This record gives sequence, structure tokens and C-alpha cells, in this order.
Amino acid sequence: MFFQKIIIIFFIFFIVCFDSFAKDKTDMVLIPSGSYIPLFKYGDDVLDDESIDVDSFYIDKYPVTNIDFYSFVKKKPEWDGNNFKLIFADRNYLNHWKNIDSFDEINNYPVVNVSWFAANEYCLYLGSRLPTLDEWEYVASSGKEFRVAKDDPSYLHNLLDWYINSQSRGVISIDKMTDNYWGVFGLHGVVWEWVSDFNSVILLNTDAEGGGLEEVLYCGATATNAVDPADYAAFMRFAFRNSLEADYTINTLGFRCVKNIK
Amino acid sequence: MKQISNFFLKSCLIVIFAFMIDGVCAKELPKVEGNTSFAPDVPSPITRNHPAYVVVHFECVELVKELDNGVKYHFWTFDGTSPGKMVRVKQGDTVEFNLHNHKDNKMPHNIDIHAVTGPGGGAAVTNTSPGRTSIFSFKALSPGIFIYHCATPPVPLHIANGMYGLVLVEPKKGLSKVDREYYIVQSEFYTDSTFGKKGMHNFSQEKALMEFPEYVVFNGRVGSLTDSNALIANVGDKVRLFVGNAGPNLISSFHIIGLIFDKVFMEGASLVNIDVQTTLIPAGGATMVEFVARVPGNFIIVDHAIFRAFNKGCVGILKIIGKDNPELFAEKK
Repeated sequence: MFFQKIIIIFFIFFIVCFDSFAKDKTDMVLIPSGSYIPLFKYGDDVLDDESIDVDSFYIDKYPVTNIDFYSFVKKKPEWDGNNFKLIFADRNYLNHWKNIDSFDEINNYPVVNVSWFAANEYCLYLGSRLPTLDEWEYVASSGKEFRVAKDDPSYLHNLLDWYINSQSRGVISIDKMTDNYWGVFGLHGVVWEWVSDFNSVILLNTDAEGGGLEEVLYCGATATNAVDPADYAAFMRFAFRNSLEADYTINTLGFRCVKNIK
Repeated sequence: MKQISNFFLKSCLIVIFAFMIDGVCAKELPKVEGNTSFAPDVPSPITRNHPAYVVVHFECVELVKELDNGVKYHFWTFDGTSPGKMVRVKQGDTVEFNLHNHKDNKMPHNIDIHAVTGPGGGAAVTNTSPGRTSIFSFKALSPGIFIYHCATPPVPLHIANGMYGLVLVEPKKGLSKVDREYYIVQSEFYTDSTFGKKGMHNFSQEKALMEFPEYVVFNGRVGSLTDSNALIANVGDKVRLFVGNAGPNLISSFHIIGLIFDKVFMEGASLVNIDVQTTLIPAGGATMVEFVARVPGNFIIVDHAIFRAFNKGCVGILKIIGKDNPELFAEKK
């Protein structure tokens, strides 16, 4: 009997260890170099065929979860919901951690209500970094079966679902997420995600004379510069990022990290 | 010495200039709360005879509402209704517009007000994250009845999901006195289900691109202006309708069965046409029509592209109450 108990305890111990091991940042996916076609033609990096080259990198398999972020905050109390500096995050920072009965319920949900500064700090703390816009879009341009999602006619339709269909609203646990071609989970249909250069579009707007990207943000002519004017989901991500500032925290905005190949 | 006096001269000029600027700012307009209403009501006429600094608040809300009996749709709205509030200001007013985006929304939103002279009609400076507020001001230069709508990319989707309404800029001397005013916006909904089929309808991008709506409606749903929601007037009333067409695609052939518009302010502007049977309202445009309610009865409001009225929901009723006038209309047995 005693022996059995020992075994059970060991077994639980093993699960706990394994569980925390599974949450380790080794849980990343290698993305080989390649190219993708961005929504808008911009910058000097655009190749003749309108695609952008992206080097290989590791990316988090899942968005950063509440429990992940909680561990970070324990180590770096200056990012605690009570100690953070208001210039680095607005008052809504980690607001969803207040007024909950038990943290267990949201352990495996993607962390939201985090500012760019907080997300950036989290990634740096783990020796990684936030993905660039191009890296994120490159990985997210794959569907389930197809490396280039747009080769699948139902892809855009399914993607729009999250944005428009109220039934599929809301943040879900990482266990419920689906993965894409690369085995990366929850890129679409769960939360928006920070990228390191989320406001690069605004910076490009200094070229006001040329009409540039500022125009595409509100004009009916939006589509004239877009490579694929039917890609409404991409327009939404584009518009969403454009509305952000680095201290903003939002109920549906989380993040994941990437790592360079050494 | 010369350098010093030069310096003094420049300083003085700067100070004087600063006072001048201050003087301009000091000529402050009286601050008033915006005059707004939900459809089909119209905000009351403006009684002041001077321009004001008008403060208006809108909140973007994403919510599920009925598009038809038993048919639900996930609307994106200004203030929870489609159309959003009608705003009434006066030519020469400065309007401070506060756009709040509710924190539980998923989308960023902005606003393009057609009464604005400035980039994007305000959209260029109001792309607002959930939980945030954007503020801008504009001077109402031109009188007329104007559409406003959300213009965040993808723009057609924000319009198709219900984000629009009307702004009335009264001319300086105001509008003529009438007995009744009503606010109507026509728009289409592109759903992945079929007209009248109970349950949740979702946006269909395919149908929107084909410009093939399941629903064409007044004031955001089938039945918004029928039965107990019918518009009311008494015989003898002077009636004014402010009618917008949000589109996003169709042009409205606006008509009321059984009466003739005494006056149509064409395209919502200053040019008046008289004795009009059917008037065109472009997508992203509006009109103002006036008539006297002369004969009692139910007068059916339609888009005279008549399949839309018969099969897609674009019907309203104006109920005129009062004594028969057999000289004008009588049934002969």
C-alpha cells in the first residue's frame, strides 16, 4: 500500500515536471526560410513578384499563456499588475487577472491585456524576441494543408469566420487551438498578436506626398494598392495594428515569441 | 547695440504675434452638447442663431441583433443600433467628435463623416483600438444632409455590418418649420443564409462582392417601419423625411406609394426639385424630401427597384390619420 502511494506520488511528480518542461521555451517550431506575398507592396525588400523573403527562425508553437506570463511576472515583479509603470502599459494591463475565482481556469488561455513593452520584455527575458510583421505574416500565410493558404479556396472563408461570426468569438484555451501547416497553433481565430514592428506602417507614412500607405487606411481606394483586395482578414490585421500604440492593452491582444537560429 | 535692438524687436514681434493667436483662440464658441436621436426620430431643430462648439459622443458596439424576425446577425454599430444616431448641427458650428470603441469589441473602428472637410472625413485621425477613444474637430462648412460611416479597412465590411447614419447640417437660417420629421437609412445585408430563414446569418463576402444582398432594409431590420413601428402623420401635417442610403452597393429609387414629394432637396443639397414621384439616393448619399399629408391611409415606403421591397425587406409604412378628403381621393362604388 505504502509502495503504491510512493509510486503514485512519483507519478504525479513526474507529470508535474513533464508539464512544466512542456511549457519550456524549447516548445518552438523551426520555420524554414521562404517568402510570402504581403497585403501591400512596400519598402525595398519586395521582390519583383511582390513577395518578401524571410529568413528561417524558431517560433512559439502556442501563444504565450497566462501561466507563462505569471511565471515571468514572479521573476520580474516590476511587470506585476500592481507595480508596472504607466508609461509601459495602460491601466487595463493584466486586468483579466483581477476578479477571477481561480487562476486555474485561465492557465492555458493566451495572455491578453499586455502592452508591446511587456510582451517585448517577456520575450527578451527568455532570450527570444517578438516576431517581425513579416515573420508573423509569413508563418500565418500557411493554411492547414497548404504551405500557401490561398491555394485553398475555403481558407479565406474560414479565416473571416472568427472576425465576423459571433459564435466563434472569445479567447480559447491552447488545447482547443488548431495548428497550421508548420504545426504552429492558434495564429488565426484566437487573439490578435503583437509584432515587433507593428507600427512600421505609420513610419512609412512620412512619405505623404506619394499617397503611400496612409491613403489605404481609409480610402475606398484601399484595394488599389493591395495585392489581394479580397483578403479581408489581412486588411483587418493591418487596420488593427495601425490603431495600436505600444502601451495599449486589449482584451483580445496577446503575443508569441520567436528566436533566431544560432 | 544694433544686434540687441534687433533681438528686442524680434522678441516684441513674437510676443505680439502670440497675443494675436491667443486672441483668435479667445474668441471661444459656447460649448453645447450634441443634438442627437435614434431612428426614426430626428433631433429637434436648433433654436440658437449663433455658431457653437458642439460636442458629440459615439460608441462603437459589436453585437448580435435581429435583422428579421428570428434572424440574427452580428452587427457592428455606432451606439448599438443600425443606423447610428442622427446628429443635428448648424452651418458654422465647430463639432468636436468623440469616437469611443468599446473594450469588448474585436475590431478597430473609425468614422468618415461626409459633412467634414478634411482627410478621410475624420477617418484619417480616428482609427481606434478597442477600449480607446479618438477625438477630432471639424467646422460644418456646408449645409445639407450627410451620411457618416465607419471606414476602417476592409471598409465595405464595416459598412455592410451596419456602421452608418446621418448628420444634418442646418443652413444658417435654419430649415422651414414642419409638423413631423423622420430619419430613415436604407442599406443592404449580405448573409450566407437565405432571406427569412430563421437562425444566425453570417456575412457572405462572396455575395457582397457580387453585390447580391439577401436583405435590403430601412433602419437596420425588416419591419423597422411597419406595424406598430409605422411612421405617423395627421392629415394636413407638413412632413419632412431625411433619407440616407448607406449602400454599401445599391442605389435607392426612393418612393412612397400614393403620394408625390412636394419638394426634394436633390442629393441632400440646396437644389430643390418639386413634384417628384421617385428620387434617386446614391450609395453613400442622402436626400431630404417634404410633402403635405393630404389623404388618410397607409402609404408604403419603398425602394422602387421593387423586388427589394417585395422580396428583400425594403418596406416601410407611413400611416396618415384623419378625415377623408373625397375631392382628392374617393372610391366609387
